Amino acid sequence: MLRQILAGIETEYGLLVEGRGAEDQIEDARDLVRSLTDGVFVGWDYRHESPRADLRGFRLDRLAVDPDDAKFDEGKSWGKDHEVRVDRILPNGARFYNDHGHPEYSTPECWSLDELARHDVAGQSLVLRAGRLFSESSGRTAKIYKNNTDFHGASYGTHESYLVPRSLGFTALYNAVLPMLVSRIVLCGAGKVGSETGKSALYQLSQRADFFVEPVNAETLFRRPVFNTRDEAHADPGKWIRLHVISGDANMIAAATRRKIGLVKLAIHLAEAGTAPLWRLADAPRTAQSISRDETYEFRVSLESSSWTTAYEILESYFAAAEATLDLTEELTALIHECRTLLLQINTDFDSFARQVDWAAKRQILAQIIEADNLDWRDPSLQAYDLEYHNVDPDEGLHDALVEMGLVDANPAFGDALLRVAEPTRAVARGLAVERFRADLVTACWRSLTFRLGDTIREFELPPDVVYDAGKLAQAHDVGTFTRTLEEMTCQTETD
Amino acid sequence: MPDGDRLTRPTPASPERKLGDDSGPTTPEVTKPEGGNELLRRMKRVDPDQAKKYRQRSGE
Repeated sequence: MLRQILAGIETEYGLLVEGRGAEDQIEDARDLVRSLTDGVFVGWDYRHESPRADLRGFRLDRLAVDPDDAKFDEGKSWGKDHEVRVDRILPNGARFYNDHGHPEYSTPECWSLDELARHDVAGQSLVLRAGRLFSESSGRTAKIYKNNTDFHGASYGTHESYLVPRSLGFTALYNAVLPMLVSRIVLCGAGKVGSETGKSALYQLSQRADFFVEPVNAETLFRRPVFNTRDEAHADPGKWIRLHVISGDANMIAAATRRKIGLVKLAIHLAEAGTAPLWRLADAPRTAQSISRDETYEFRVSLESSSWTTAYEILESYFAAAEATLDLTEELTALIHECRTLLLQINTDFDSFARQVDWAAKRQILAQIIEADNLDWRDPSLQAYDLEYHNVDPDEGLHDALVEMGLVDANPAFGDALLRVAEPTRAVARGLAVERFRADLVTACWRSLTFRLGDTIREFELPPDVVYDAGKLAQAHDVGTFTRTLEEMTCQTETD
Repeated sequence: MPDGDRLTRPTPASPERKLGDDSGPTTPEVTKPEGGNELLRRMKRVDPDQAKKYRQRSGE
């Protein structure tokens, strides 16, 4: 049976505050995040972060910044990092903070696709709640958008994290994952009116494709790559890599979120088995842009050998390789079936395709408004409808209107996802520590919890491949018992 | 194991369709919903200039 791949999603939300602009965004996002106070722990541990480390074995002197953003910051001093980021850790083990002026919800780590998609949906609700609290206190209306572009050249990310054994190495991971990142746009893109760089387009499949200029590097803010090499394991770096995917779109349809993650997991499994299809793309960023702009739905991909194939063939090669060489789980078997069905429906049953794919659902909205108001595809107002597709307020958002009309499949109810993670990942331990023992918690992050125990301060590692039994941990009524239980589960001793 | 080369073919001399053609998306046919249209009701509330006002900082 395949190993389970721990994964998470970080979404930077767009924020539009009445009477304010991008130059105010860092203060506004900070205040929005800070408005969430109930049941959270404040005290993120930054010690293990290493955004300049590169998977290829070197370290960057500095990361590039967007020159337009630098203009916003002229003459301003933001204070200490933690005062600007105002990190919160939630009782479900998630992180909520201000990332470069965007409220960011990072889901707790999950093993299954369903659980991760559920937490991604729950994040929308949490950010909306924080936005409403911010509006009450500031007297300004705040709109929250789960998208990746402002249509003026600024982009913000929806990142995915996948735990991968260090022994796999950069080359095998890169070769297996890069073609998938480009091809999955067909099934996972969120759609966009217009273009912000390169060749003009009236409608694209992807929100993010315009913003990638290199196949591979460690940047995230400027000169972004299709394959990001930031080497920040959030675990023991001798054992693990955290594959940091930055090229995906924010999905409103939970089934698309699920699919987006599942397809990368499939590529990682094939890389680990040594059976990933061998595709050499001629130019990954340009291919992503051409797939995104392809109004014929042919999705041609140029290869290094001066030949070409299509995204359909690339995706099918992964499915065939997985079926032939992996002991597939039910989850991945179902994913392959779903993707094959959708790839047929693009050209034969677009209404069914649009029930599960954001770019197609959004395209239906635009087609309606064009007909209702006698517009054409060049009309600048179409970007406003594009934006409102991503409005997370269920009473305003156009995605929610499609769900209400039965044209798009409803997202799963997220239930108690903001209170706990339903799988025994390390997020269980983090969440319980926040819920029950935050008075004793000194600092915390993805990879560890640090408690004050009497006169001593002690850090407890949270190895990512351990099963964290929520029932056992919840039986602890004091922090000493909790940490002892944690030690037994993770086999830690004082000398570890 | 699938071989990438197996599925490839020569690049034609001229592409069948140029990118950037500004005639707009033409395929496929889309069925319009019937009855009460919540979508159009919400669309009427959208400020058509909303995207013009929407400026964000770059994120990661």
